[in-house]
Amino acid sequence: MKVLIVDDQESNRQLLGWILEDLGHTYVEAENGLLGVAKFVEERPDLVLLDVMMPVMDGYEAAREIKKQSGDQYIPIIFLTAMSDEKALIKCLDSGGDDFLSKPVDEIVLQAKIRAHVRTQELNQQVRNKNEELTYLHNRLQHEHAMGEHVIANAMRDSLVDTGNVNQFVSPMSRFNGDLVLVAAKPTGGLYVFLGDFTGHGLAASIGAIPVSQAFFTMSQKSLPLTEMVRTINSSLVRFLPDHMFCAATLLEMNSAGTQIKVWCGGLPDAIIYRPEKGIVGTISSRNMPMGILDDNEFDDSFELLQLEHGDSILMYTDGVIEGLNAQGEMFGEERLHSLLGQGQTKLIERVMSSFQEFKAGLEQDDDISIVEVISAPVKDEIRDRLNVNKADLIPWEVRSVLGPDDLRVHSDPCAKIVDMLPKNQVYRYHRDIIRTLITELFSNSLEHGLLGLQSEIKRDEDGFVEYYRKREELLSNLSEGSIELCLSYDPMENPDILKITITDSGKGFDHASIKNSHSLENCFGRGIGLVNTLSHTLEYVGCGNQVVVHYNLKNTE
Amino acid sequence: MSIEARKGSDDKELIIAVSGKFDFNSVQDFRKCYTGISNVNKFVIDMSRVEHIDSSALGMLLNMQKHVGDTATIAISNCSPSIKKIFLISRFDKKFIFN
Repeated sequence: MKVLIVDDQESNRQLLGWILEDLGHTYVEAENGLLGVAKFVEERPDLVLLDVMMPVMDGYEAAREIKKQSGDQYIPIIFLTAMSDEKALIKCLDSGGDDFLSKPVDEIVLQAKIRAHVRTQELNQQVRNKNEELTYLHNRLQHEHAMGEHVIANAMRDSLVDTGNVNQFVSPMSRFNGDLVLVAAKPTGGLYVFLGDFTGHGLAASIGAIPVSQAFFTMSQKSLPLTEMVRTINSSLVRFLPDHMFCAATLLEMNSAGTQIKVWCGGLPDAIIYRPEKGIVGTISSRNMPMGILDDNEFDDSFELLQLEHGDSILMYTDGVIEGLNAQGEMFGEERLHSLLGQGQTKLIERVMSSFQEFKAGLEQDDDISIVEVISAPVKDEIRDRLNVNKADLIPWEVRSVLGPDDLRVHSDPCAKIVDMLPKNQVYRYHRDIIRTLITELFSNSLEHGLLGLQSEIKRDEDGFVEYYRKREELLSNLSEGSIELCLSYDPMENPDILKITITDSGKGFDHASIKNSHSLENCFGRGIGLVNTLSHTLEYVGCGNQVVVHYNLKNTE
Repeated sequence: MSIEARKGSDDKELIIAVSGKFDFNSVQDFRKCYTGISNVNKFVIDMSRVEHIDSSALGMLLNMQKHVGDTATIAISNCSPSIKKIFLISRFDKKFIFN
């Protein structure tokens, strides 16, 4: 190591220099305090041996200056002194000295002191390195957290907050929330609400929010049934989460009238059904394991169906509420929670939370806390309408196809092709199977009865059934004239909810009234038109019966 | 569209698996699956690969039921939700077993 010797006596410097060289160190020297400080800055020694009484600048001032220059690096200063009075020694320490060495310097003592200070210096260096590392890691963690927060916030950005049907209180224990509340409008009317509580808290727990919210919003946009949603979210959590992690969750779907709720519960505390004039009128218990545990084939997607009266509330909450501990180690508890909800309450969440805060009396919360209140009331149309951001969906359109004999022979299922031409937005995606059924049935009637002149009565027995379709094939292959026109049209100015299906054939028409009435299970024919009648809003034959007009309600989701 | 019949879990069970469109084009093939078969007391119509049905499929199933009468039960299994809806609208749950 390199040692700086500051002493006005050349003989002293020389002697110390020899000793240091003997011990295997190098040295630089200065003859007073001021030169010593300059040398220190220039040479950056590892240790300083400093005389006290010197001209120009004495040892005390030099020590102060050198310590200033060292910053947070530990460079020991050992005072060389012949003095023995305590006041002088204290002055040495006050000015920044780390140790003393009495003159004349003893080689063994000097060696011991150097060793001791080298060890201190090494420890100091280690601490400094660790500090640097910690600072770096801390900054990186901050950065990563900010990124995580951004991603998670974006994943949940689509959750609705101002529906008028849902109130929520969410209080994470740390920066990241292991609880998750998601609300989405159902494009075909109604709302979906998800409340989940992932194992643990903090970042690790909140990461599960990403796959859940992605699945939740994608599926809600398609108005998928509750069973499919819980099944898909479960599977995606099984795939994403490590084995020890899962998500206790409740998923609820409310119809647009706000009178009916389908609910699936897995692992969350019992939800409360509250009726203002009565108080608590029931609870909804979990009947399933939390999501993210069972494979799809073991998973039970069955839900409970509840009828509500307007003004009723469903109160769902995570276990952070009832398991919150007070200073005495007591739990808040379900009983206390229920006792708060007597009749006539209006602000359920506020009532519960103010009582909870009082109970905790300033104690920090022990878990993430979420409470969600779903209120039975008609879901406002504008909430759903916000989904149809693209008002261009509402332009009028029409698809028309006229099929002559050759077309009818070549295309065995023209209806599927027409259905493929429907607009690609969610509303039609939801209804396409039913629309296809409607068109298929109407088209078959037009072709078989209108154009080919077949009589349904042939199908009365089993052989007739086969005979009927044999004849159909024969007549179709010999068909030389006539046509069927399929037309789907949509006119939002007339009615934004109605899709109009018009099918016209060139046949003579038929006695539609009798066929319409023959809808019964015992007949193997005439069933098609009964089906159309049930599925459509209105069904009307025009003129002699060669044209049928069906109005289909695109908002009907029953 | 294709129709396949295979033995079920025991000799008395016959599974008829339909795929694609289940409509009048299937009349002959579907009928062949259950006519001339004896010693079967349970038919299972596996709908898992059916994408669309029309009312003639309903008729075919009713015909089948008349044909087998009391000698066997007919179960309709693995319907997609939209297909199941068509069956339920026509109240097929009164005469067939759904699972």
